[in-house]
Amino acid sequence: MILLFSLISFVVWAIFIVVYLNNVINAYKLQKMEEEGKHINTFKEDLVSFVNGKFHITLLALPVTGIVVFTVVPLLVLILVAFTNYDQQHMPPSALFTWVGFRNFRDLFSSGGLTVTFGYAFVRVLAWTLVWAVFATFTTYIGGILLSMLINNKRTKFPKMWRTLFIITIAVPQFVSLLLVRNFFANSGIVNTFCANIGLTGWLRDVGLIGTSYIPFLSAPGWAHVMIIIINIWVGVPYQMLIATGVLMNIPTEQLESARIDGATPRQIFWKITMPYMLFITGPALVTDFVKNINNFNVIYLLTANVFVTTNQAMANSQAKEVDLLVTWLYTLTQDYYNYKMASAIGIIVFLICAVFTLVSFNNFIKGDREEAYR
Amino acid sequence: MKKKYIDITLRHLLLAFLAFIWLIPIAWLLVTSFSAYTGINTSTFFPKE
Repeated sequence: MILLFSLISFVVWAIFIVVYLNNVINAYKLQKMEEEGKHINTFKEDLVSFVNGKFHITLLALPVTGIVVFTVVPLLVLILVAFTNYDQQHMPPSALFTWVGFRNFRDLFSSGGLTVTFGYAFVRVLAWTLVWAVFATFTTYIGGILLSMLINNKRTKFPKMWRTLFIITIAVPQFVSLLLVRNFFANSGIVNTFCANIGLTGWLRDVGLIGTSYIPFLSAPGWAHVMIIIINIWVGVPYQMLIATGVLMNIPTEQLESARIDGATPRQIFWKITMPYMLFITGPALVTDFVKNINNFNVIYLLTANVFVTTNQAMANSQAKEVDLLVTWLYTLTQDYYNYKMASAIGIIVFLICAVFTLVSFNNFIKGDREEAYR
Repeated sequence: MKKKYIDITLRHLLLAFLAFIWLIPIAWLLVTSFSAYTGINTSTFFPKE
């Protein structure tokens, strides 16, 4: 509360200083106009100008106030929390929290002994986050393009029916379908019963891949990582198929025709015309997808919550799991352990990663000046 | 001409197979909604009662 009020007072101070400076500048301008003998607006004329010439300011006043009050101020408060020791031991009103400078960030990047393992956990969670984002983005992207090409092909009968079949999975909310799939692959779920019946479980145990009487699809580190990516293909390909269908239908047919007349093989057409065109159109969407996957809370959380329990003591000490993304880790820290200071620090790091990635990729890989090449 | 028919058949078989995989969980969602079983650890695809 103290933090909130002091921040608000700072914002009020900032607004006041801006108004004050503007006032001085205006007074100086008016003095100049007076010396030059120009007409000076009266107060009433100033008011009227806000309805006519400066109407945009009148219109924008309300939205801007709303953004400052409901977005900027809370955001600043949350950023400032990263520099305090706001956690379970310091919960107002019984115990106040105070400034600690960059200690949280130092904790996040360093690990000492068995108690402070944030550095250890952070590196692992970050690595999995990036691996996940790369795999999740590209598997669904390529899968979506291939599927839509398969359906769009002239030789395929009933393309609309096939499309509908795949889109049905989008129609079921992720809350339902992902929790369902989680039960599907549970330690004593359907797939495990099935695998035990056909002898797959026994065979895997003989080979030495598992040491349990079931296949730990979502409850052992390596298995869970692979399963999450596979399940994400199931979730994501229909969406990408929809996007790819729209883009593929818009490829200029004269280009394809002339390539065919020149004797290009289907493979050449795909790599030289279809893929560059797809990448050009969907490049920005691809970048957005990557950032979205870094923050893909739904898939990870719904699939592994209450199922995956980490056995790594060092990870458990910082409340992280092997399958956690930075976002889900942040969620556990705030919801279950009230560790707001570390969560806030992690949030800032996530933002930095996403911002740097987006800026670099938009500046270097996606160039708007290539458009005429396709005209 | 024969090659073309094989191609078309393979195409549709592949599509049918993929659609089947994509729809398994949805089908299960439908059949479980008629199930009388209240636990979460189901071990049969089609509900027993």
